Amino acid sequence: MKTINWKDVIKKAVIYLIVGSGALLMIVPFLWMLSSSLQTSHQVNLRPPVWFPNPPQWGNYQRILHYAPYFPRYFLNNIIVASVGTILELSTSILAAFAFSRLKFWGRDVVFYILLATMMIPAEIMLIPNFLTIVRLGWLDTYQALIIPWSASILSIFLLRQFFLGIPDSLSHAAKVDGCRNFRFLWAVMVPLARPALVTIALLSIISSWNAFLWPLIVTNSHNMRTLPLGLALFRGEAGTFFELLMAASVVVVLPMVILFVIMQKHIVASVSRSGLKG
Amino acid sequence: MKKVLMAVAGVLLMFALAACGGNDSADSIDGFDPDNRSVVEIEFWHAMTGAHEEGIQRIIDAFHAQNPYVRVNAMFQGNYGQLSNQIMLNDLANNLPHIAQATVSDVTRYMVDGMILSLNMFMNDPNVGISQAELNDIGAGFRATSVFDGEWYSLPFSKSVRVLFYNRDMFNAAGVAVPGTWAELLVAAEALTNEDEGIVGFSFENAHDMEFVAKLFQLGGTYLDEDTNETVFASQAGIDAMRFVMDLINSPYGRTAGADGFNSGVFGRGDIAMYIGSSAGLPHVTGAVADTFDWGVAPTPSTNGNRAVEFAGNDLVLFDNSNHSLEERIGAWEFMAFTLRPEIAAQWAIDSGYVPVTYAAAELPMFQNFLAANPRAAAATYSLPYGFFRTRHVQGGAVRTILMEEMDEIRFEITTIEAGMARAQQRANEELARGR
Repeated sequence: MKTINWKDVIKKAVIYLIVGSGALLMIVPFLWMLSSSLQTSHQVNLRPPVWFPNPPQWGNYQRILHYAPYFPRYFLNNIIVASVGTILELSTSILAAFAFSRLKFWGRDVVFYILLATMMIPAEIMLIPNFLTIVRLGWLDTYQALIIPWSASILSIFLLRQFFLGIPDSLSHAAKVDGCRNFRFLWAVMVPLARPALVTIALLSIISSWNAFLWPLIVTNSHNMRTLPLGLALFRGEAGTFFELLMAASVVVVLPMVILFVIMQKHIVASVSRSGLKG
Repeated sequence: MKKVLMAVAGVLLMFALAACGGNDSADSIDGFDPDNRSVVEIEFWHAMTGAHEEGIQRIIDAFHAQNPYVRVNAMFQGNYGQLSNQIMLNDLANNLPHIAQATVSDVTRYMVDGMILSLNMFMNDPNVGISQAELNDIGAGFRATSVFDGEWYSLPFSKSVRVLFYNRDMFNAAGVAVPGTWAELLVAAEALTNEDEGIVGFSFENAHDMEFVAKLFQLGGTYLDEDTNETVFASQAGIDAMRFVMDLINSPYGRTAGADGFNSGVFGRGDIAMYIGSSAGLPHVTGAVADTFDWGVAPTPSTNGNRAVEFAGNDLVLFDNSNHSLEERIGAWEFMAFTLRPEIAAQWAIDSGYVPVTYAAAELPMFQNFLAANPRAAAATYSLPYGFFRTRHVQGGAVRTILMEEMDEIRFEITTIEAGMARAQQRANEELARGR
């Protein structure tokens, strides 16, 4: 007869309690966002809060379009900026990380450390110089202005370089014996092996791009080029906030990230467990 | 209706009394041929959202219908602070728009920095100018912040005043009349407070420095002396005004919006019986109350028969940018002047909830009909003759921040009223001296 190990049971119960409480804390704001997006402007202000609005105000999602008719355009812009920006960042990071980890050239480490040193400069200090560069290039209110300045990331290069350094040299030697040149070796061997790190970098890039507010605000002027976080500002006026519409719009903004997380869940867990990196 | 007519009459009187000075310059536009024009595009940066943004587009559509040579592109640039930052940033890059909304202190800052054009040249042009009568039609309170040494640098556009929102059902149940004075407000707040039900009689918005300044002016005090470039709000009148505000906030029948940010939500759920806030908050209150009780809007209280209510809002300015051609500047001016046309200003006031900025707009039957059908909008119009701007000083924002910081110290009894006021004034004067 199997005996119950009470010590084990209690240990697990405590762990589940702690993890469950953490999960609840994390999910409550999302549930509140979803609930208030379906409330009237009266209900959303009530205390104690209404968790299950009856009837749910599905029309709030339609009212977003009335209040902010450019919201679909903002959504499209976010997808374009996040996807193209991420592809570019991955491309530049892979190439730069490979160069800094595998290629031998004069001053390689010095250049790398100089690049690392730039991470010490607060982004706010670079805001005006970067803005002036964009103006002189004639890129104001264009996709280039939204994408190009963020198409290379020192952090991503650093993370990937460290990952590449962990890949044994013997693989490189074996590939060369088989006739692989550097690019082929990078593409066929290094990139597949670095997939956990690449997933992490891609997620960090997508999230930061999706949520960016200040840079899109200053380099875009027209509704045609604006992005979703700027769209959320439309629901806050000088004398009050339309919380139910703001929450409905927030659901629209957050939903793609949730879907992305569900799709990529396996890879995210793998990337965290294998690389020790987290988003 | 009688009150509404009296309000309009008051506005008429105010504008009639104010009909002096203004556009007496002999400037006009050299090199402008009205018979040989090409189509130009104008950028108009604003901070308006929702119904306000729709109202702006309606003005633009009406303008386009009458002016085939000018295309105006309205561009939302975030809230007022973000719009102001955008303008300073784009000034560095010589990339300013043609027109933008600007707060009163921003108008002064842009004027001092040479970023905006004097409008006199355009006003006096026989082809695109506007008459002296039209200028005199602008409210005196609004003109005061637009004219510097006889030169016009802005035109009033989106202006709001403070009004008293009250829960009529609660007032009726308690048998309390709508207060006309601060003393009556204290009595009403006490009578309407029900601690068992969590109802507080009166609430200030978080920006309750506006009520302090209104009370200061009603008690005969002033805020900032432009001649000496020093604040003077720590006078006896200022101390009395501050004591009144703090006593009310810290009493059981007074509070602030606090974490709610604005009082519309607090009011809508019945936690307070009345509050003073911006007339621009009407749509938010309408939504928050949602017909769950009857409510009204009244002018803010007076002191000893003295009415004073602070204006808030924005003007339109025309930027001096070397990238803008003369034709573009003229087109931009034409649009600015277009917003002053009575039917346009009246429609904008109806669409936005802002107060009409000209006498003629307030007088139009369409606006009077609107007031008759929407009595809650009448309180703001009634308050127009009593409106003031505390200062148009370029550092007005910095001084206000200092005052609000010290008000927090006073409120939480970290310092006394006298010491806090003295320190606020000293800090503000040091700030003004640094920027002299």
